[in-house]
Amino acid sequence: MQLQCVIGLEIHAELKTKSKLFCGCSTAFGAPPNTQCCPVCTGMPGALPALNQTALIYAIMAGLSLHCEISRYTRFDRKNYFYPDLPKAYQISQLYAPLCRNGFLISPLFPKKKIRIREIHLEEDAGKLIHDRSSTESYCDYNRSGVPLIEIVTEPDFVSGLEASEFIKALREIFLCLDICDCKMQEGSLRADINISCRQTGSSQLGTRTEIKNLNSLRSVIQAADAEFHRQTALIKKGKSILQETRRWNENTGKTESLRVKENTAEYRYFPEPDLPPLCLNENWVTAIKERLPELPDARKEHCLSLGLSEENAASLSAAPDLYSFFLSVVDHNVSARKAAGWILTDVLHFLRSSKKELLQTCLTPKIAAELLILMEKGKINREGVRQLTQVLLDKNIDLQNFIQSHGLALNNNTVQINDAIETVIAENPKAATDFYNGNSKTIGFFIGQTMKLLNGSGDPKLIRRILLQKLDENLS
Amino acid sequence: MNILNYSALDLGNALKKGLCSVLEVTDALHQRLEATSFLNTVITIDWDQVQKDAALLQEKIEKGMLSSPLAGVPVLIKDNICTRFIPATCASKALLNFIPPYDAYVIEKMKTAGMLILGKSNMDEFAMGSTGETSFFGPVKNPWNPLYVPGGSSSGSAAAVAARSVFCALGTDTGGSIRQPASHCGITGIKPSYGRVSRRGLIAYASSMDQIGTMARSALDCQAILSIICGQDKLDFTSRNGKSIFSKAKGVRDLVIGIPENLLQAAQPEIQQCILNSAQIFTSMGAVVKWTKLSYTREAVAAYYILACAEASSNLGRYDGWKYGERTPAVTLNKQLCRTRSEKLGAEVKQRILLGSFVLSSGHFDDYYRKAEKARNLIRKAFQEAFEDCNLILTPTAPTTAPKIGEMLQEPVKMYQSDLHTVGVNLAGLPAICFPGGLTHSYMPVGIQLIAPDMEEALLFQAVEAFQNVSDFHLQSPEVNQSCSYNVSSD
Repeated sequence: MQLQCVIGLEIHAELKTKSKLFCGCSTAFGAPPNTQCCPVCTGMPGALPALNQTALIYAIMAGLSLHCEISRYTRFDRKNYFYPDLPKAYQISQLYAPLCRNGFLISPLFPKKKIRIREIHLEEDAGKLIHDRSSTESYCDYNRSGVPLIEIVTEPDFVSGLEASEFIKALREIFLCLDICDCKMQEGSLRADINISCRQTGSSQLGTRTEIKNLNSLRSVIQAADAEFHRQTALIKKGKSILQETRRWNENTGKTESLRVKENTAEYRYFPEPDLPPLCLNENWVTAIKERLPELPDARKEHCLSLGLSEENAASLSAAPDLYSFFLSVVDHNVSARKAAGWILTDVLHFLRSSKKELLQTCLTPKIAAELLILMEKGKINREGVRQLTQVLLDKNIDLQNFIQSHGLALNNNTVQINDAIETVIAENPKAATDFYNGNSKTIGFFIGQTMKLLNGSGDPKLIRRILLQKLDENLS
Repeated sequence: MNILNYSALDLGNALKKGLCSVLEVTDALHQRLEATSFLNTVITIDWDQVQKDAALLQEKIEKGMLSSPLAGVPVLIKDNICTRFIPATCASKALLNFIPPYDAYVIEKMKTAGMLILGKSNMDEFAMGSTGETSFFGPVKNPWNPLYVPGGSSSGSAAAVAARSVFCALGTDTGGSIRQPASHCGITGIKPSYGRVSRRGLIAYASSMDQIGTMARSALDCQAILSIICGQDKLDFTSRNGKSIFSKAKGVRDLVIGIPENLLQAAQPEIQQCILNSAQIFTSMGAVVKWTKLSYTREAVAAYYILACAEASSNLGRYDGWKYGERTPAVTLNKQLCRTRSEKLGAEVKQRILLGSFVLSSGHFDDYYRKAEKARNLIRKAFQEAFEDCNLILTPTAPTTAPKIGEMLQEPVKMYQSDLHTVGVNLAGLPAICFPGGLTHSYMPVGIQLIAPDMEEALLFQAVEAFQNVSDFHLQSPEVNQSCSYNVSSD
């Protein structure tokens, strides 16, 4: 009996709106408990929800980018259950008429696999419980209560945890590109639940599924899926049955553990939300949103390739929205695309990483970057100069020309000085010269290096090479 | 004339002219409310605060800062409407210590107009009840005879207006809760079109039907207050702007008024007689009265209770003792929740929550909730059809006059069925007004209901104002008396 793993994903993504889904409270992460709440998001008697239109637009953007149909008629439903972090004792969600349906996404690592998206719906987040370890008390923090979420529900189209995690990765790139979600799994702005079951290879019959909740990293998605699949296959091979239950991933033990066994059917007493009238979305309005969508990662990569970038550089740039848009602006200033990409992905990225900064937090502008690259192209500064300048430019606004002059970063084009240096080097290294005449062409590098050293690194390597070859030729004749 | 017999508009006028002061008025009300306290119409009035507010308003009136015709007029607010820093209990043990930090939209509007928020009136717990008996603060009594109920759930508002303890009040109407007590107490009350008045700050019972309305001793007063509180609120997505509530036309000449025979016959003979009398009055003023069909009756009550209880079961989930109110200690979270809710909510409320939870649970949703929604659509359609050949529909407000205290509590189904004449209007979201149409032989008031198409409140006021110009039913008032021997004898 050959068993195959079958996985479906439910992904919750917090939308990056300034205010909550049904009130004006801030959604900023990390504020002191209960400082970002009001009668609406704490469910006070008499409070009514008022829909945040930006959240609706973001959810539609997500749907359009994932090839979904956008429902012309959509509405909210109440999901009723009791828990202290749910102040109204119901969550405003969508069951009967979700906003988006029937989409798909293909992740780059599995280009032949179309993952079907069943629906995307808009809903509000719950608050958080804080358990005091020093006593038996628990506290509620309603800052998160009412933060807008979209839930993306896939069909059970994955056969491994890796496929699922690659899907989340691709989804993350799209959402970052749309700028609708922070996608920080550790902070909980992107959370994944996986539904997992086994099926006999060749059969369409699915086994009993379990749900693993709140996976907060891509790695845990892969590990939890693998562990759960092994647990289920072991049980099946022993002839035991799988319980339909909710489980959680324990990183320390590397195992999934039971959280609660689902009763026959979850009793949420869903019914249409009477406080919010159904929405009839105007076709033109949705089209306008579609037209304003930014370029998605796939299209970006195509664009990069068309500018002559390598596959690798194209992939790296298209995955980083800020670097990509910076790159495009730099290229707009008539700079070679390949040189610009090379520089951004090495020097710029290196200093961003070492200083732990985002590009937008630095002083670097596309204009000055283009100036630098043009100077480099024209041979006015050397490689090391470019590196040094990049670091400086990230930190402060400077006049490029002045700085190069005052810091001696300009290439030395003084033929007399270079001549003198080369003569000294050849004279000091007779053995290397002999090697060269005997046909060891590698020695040329040695000579260039030594000359450069003598010139304190400021010599123009092309010029040195030309004069050096001339000199060696002259000496031979 | 005794100040207490003024209409709200007359009082506003007198205050403007300086014939009396806001403080004199509140003092008079204070005395009257003390004298009629056995009616149990009030839950909270902070007289010290009222005096301060009155002084402030008097000053503003004298300086000419308030232009509203109702500036300085005190108004009583049903206790399910939030008023900043005044407890809003909904007459429930679960909300005894809930003090809203905000004003409902309607309160904001009334304060802006310079009306004096007097305090909070007694009611059926969470507006669930047709008798005023389910209040945690004890039953409200009918000023016409304190052995009888005032109707519900806006019981305190209706009884206080009828007893001349206040000039006007706000009520709320989900299935008849303004009109039916107005009928039983002999006053005028309007339930506006759904969405005419913002529900922001109204503590929800059944959100798709709840509507705030006005109660006073004449249609003119009801209209004047409604004009202050109505209008679209951008924070209540179900609120709407509509046609003006003021009609250019006067009188009822050529208005076609339909009487649905089945609804008429579902009332006591004495009530039927009052309806026919009022039809006569309309005819004498030039209206055309005819029989019409409104082919729903049994379905309406069933559909109403299914939908209202379903929504209530969800709306009342938040009274868990975790945020306000006290919680009953227990070992587990679930037990704590169950005990708290069992202890803090009254019997009628629990009954409706159970009913609502049942009809929403999987396996029953299609049989009950969905069917009720279908019935609701049919009822909407039935009204639309009826309005194709008449401008207004005339019906009784209730099948009987006020029952005796205690009588209905034994028979919940009978109580629910007594909502027959009112719930259809809420299901269809229409405006309807109830106004006095005379007294029975046992001196109990009979209310008459006029129903109009969506957003046609102006037509209701036009008709009832004409009616009240030529009749004096609305001027009859009870001799409020704790023993009330004079009309018990004729029972």
